Amino acid sequence: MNPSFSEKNETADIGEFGLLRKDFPTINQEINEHPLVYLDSAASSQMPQQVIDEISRYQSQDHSNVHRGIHTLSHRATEVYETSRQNICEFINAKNTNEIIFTSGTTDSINLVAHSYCKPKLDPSKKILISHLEHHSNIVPWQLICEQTGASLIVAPIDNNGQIITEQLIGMIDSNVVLVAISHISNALGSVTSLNKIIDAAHQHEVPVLVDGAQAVSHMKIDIQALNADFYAFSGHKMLGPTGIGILYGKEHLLEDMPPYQGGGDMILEVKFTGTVYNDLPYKFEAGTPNISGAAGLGAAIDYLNQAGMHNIEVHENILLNKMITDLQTIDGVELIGRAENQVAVQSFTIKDIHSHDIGTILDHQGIAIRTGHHCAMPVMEFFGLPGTARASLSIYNNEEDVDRFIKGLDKVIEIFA
Amino acid sequence: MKRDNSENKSLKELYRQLIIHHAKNPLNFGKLSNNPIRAEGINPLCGDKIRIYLNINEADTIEGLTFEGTGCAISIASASLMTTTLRNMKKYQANQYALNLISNLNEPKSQEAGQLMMDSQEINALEGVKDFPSRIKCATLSWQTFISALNNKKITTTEK
Repeated sequence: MNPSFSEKNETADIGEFGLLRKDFPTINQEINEHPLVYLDSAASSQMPQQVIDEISRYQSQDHSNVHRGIHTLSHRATEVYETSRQNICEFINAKNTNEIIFTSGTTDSINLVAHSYCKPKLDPSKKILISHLEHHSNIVPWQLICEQTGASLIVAPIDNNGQIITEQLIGMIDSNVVLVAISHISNALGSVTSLNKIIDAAHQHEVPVLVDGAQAVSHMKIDIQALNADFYAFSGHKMLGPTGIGILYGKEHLLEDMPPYQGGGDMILEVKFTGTVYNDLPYKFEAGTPNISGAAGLGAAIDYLNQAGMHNIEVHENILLNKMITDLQTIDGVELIGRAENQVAVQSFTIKDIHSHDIGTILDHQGIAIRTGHHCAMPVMEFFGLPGTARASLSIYNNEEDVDRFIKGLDKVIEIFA
Repeated sequence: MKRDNSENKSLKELYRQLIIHHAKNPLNFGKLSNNPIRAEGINPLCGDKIRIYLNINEADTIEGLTFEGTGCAISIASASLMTTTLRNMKKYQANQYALNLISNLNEPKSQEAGQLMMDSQEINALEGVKDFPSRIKCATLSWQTFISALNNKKITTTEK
């Protein structure tokens, strides 16, 4: 089933995005007796019926274990799983499927790189470079391995607009840096990192770069070869897919040289008590029975995104973000947190003397879902001297009416605290 | 029309004037001198942080009780109400009061509207959180922190 904007199997016209909303059953419901306005896609996006149907189809028709049986169902399950891998490979323009590792999500992908790539290289003279903008999942894994090895975690600063200060980050790169790990788009503020400059500079010092792409993949076209990132991590559930499935992209020669992360079935060729021969890529990093239905769902989500067209999605969300920013600025007491030159799908804000949770509760009462608090990015909040912000984030299924309802909802917040 | 009324009703129950007033002008906000007992309460899900300062005299009476920290209207108002309610109580009474309040707030809402939970009209203003399950912890954080302070536990969290 194709997305609902067109009878033909072509990409959508931007004006047709309104039709596509009806593909998302979660969006089409009432919450607290109001039609739902879902502005929390940066935390988790909703799934279109096409994804839900594919998961259900796999579970009810094709399920078995992968790469094991010679029976028909095992073959079908393997085909579903590997077709999804191929789909993901093409979606981000990786060289081949050896570079696409299924994980449980971005956090798992980052931990894999931390333990398998970085940790063996670390000692007290070595450093890992991150930025002040990172999500906890791109901070804590590095802290853990630094504690274990005596290496240092160094942090590039951000400016008052909530952008990484690219030149300063680049100035911190030297040959003792084992890895640069940075987000593509900040989950808290929506700021887009100047990856090209950073990756070029890191490569001049022969330092690889891991990009946390969790907030980027469903909002812009990713061409991993053009980007030239060495590792790229993302999650299914932030790109219209299910939870519990994610991807680690890694350059093949780096993945080849890395030891396995976890041991178990599927990641081996031969097991003897005297020693085990590990499987080839990508299976070397996929121990145990994987999340096959998750992979099926993620594959279907990518089909959906492809049919909508990543460029169209970018334009659609950008129009909505600009409207949201303009409208927010008309409200007395609202302060926008994060005003990056290049910002995607997210706006954080505060209202004078009103805590973000109170904003969240009063909006929820009107059927409007936003995120409030620290957004798993406490250092960002600390930088701005705030306990938290309110954050509205957009996706493919949002429309202008959502933004209008959200803005109107904020009037109610201000009225209660007047 | 009915929708708007019921909606406003439970929101108004949550954000009663008294709560808004205490949130905007919290009482006993700040540190205590004389080397007080301290405890910190954290709600890791939302980042709310409350510090309690407590002085108990030789007769086991809560002589001084203040707080500071950041949080939503509900958690600040609740902390403010806590300081006025528990001050001058005996240690054991205050402990029992805090325990009762926490368990009351976690109990399902009573059928009888406006039924008093506690013996104080002011404290009963916290009752509005019962319609908002995700906000109950905001109301109980300071009380839980108070109990930890009495038990010499330096740090407590809403997530156990």
